[in-house]
Amino acid sequence: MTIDHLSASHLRRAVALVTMPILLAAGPSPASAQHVTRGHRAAADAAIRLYMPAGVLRVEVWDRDSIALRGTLGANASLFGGGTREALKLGVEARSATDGTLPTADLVVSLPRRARLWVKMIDGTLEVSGLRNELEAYTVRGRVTVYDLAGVVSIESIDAPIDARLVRGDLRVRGGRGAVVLEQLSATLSISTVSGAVTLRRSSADGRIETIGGAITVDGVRKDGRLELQSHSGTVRLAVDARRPPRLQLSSRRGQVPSPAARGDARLGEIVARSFRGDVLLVPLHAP
Amino acid sequence: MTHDPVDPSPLSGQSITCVAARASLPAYRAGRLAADASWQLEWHAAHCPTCGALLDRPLVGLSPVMATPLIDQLATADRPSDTERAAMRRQVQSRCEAPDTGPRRTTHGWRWGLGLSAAAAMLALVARRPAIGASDQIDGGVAAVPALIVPTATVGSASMANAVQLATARAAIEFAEIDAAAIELNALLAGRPDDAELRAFRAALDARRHDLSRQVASVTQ
Repeated sequence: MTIDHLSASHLRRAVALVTMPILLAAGPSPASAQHVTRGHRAAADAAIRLYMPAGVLRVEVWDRDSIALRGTLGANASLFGGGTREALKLGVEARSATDGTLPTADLVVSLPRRARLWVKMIDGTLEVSGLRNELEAYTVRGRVTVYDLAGVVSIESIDAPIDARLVRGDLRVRGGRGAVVLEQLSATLSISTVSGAVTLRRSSADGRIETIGGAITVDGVRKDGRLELQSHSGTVRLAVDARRPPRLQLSSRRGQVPSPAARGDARLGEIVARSFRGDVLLVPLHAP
Repeated sequence: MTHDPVDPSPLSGQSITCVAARASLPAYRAGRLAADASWQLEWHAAHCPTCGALLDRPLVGLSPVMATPLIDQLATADRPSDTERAAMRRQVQSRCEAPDTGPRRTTHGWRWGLGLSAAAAMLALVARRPAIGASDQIDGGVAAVPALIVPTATVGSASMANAVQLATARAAIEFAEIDAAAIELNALLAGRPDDAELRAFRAALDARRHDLSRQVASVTQ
């Protein structure tokens, strides 16, 4: 072993001794990302309440008699909650009452398929899939995505975009500015937004869609069903099969309406579209 | 937080500053302020937390002005043009998006205490603000404040105060859209109170306003 080798070895050790504490200090601290795993026994149709102010919350289902929650909590977040097999409440709250940051987490929650879920967020991404009973979701901002649901689904948001796909049963949406996209539904709808656009496509649906300033785009109605569309100033756009159109009743006080305003076959369903100031447009349906 | 210098009214296009708003408060509280000026003050207060807080506190139990919506004035007012509606919307949006530019960290007690007060005042103001020209006014019925849900939730932490501020600010944009549409319909309904279709359009606005008020109020529930 030469003097040069010793020097190089000592140098490497010295560098390691100096840099290791720096690297350790720069890495994720336990306080900034706490990993959590929690389980609870739950009845098949348990009533579950979840509250998570900010972050990403994914709700899935499984065929077990329990609830599993796993993920990470932000620096100002801690878990709270508890309950019985029939009713359970879990949530994320702020560690410090003086920290204005919304408590943030990134969680995946697994529930029994027939659980009845109430979930609330303030500003985050919410994804729910697989439930077969009830879902009631609320958020101020962020994004809501639900798919493969059955039963009674209610989603409210002040301005988060909402995507609902493969929903069967009753779907209720109360939105503000965010766009609402509904796809592949077999449902009775009650949809209302202020300025958010609503798009309904590739669905067998009836019910009612209302906006104030948002556009409404619809490409069909449930056979034998009735779909009512109403806007104050938003454009209403209907895409129908020109060879087999459902019964259409179209009107606008101050906007344009295609002529004739009433046409089609009621046996194929009925669409009533009215606007105060928006145009009502009829366009050919292009096969997917 | 003040918003000098301008705050256009959708009715007249005139502006009102924070200074002018505060100067007109005594007359407003005494019920001596003209209807159009009252509307301008309410509009300003709805979007300026500081003036909103000043306006909100003495209003409790002192609601003759708020309990007498400006339907007469609104019904005869010219419908705002598309340009006016767009300008109003841009103005409200630019103000209301300001708090959302990044995470709000208030580490000092007095700051988040002030935030709590402002948020609570904004929440109360938005939820209590009467619908412009409630439909029962169209029939010539007795003026009454619409039965909006007044939030009773307490704001218990700084993060919750920010949640309330976020909800209130985001909803204000939508309330402005509803207000503009209501003004337009009220002007027509004044001349045709029995028009069922117009009333249906108006009822949809009232329903949406109610939904939105409930959504804001439920942030902390």
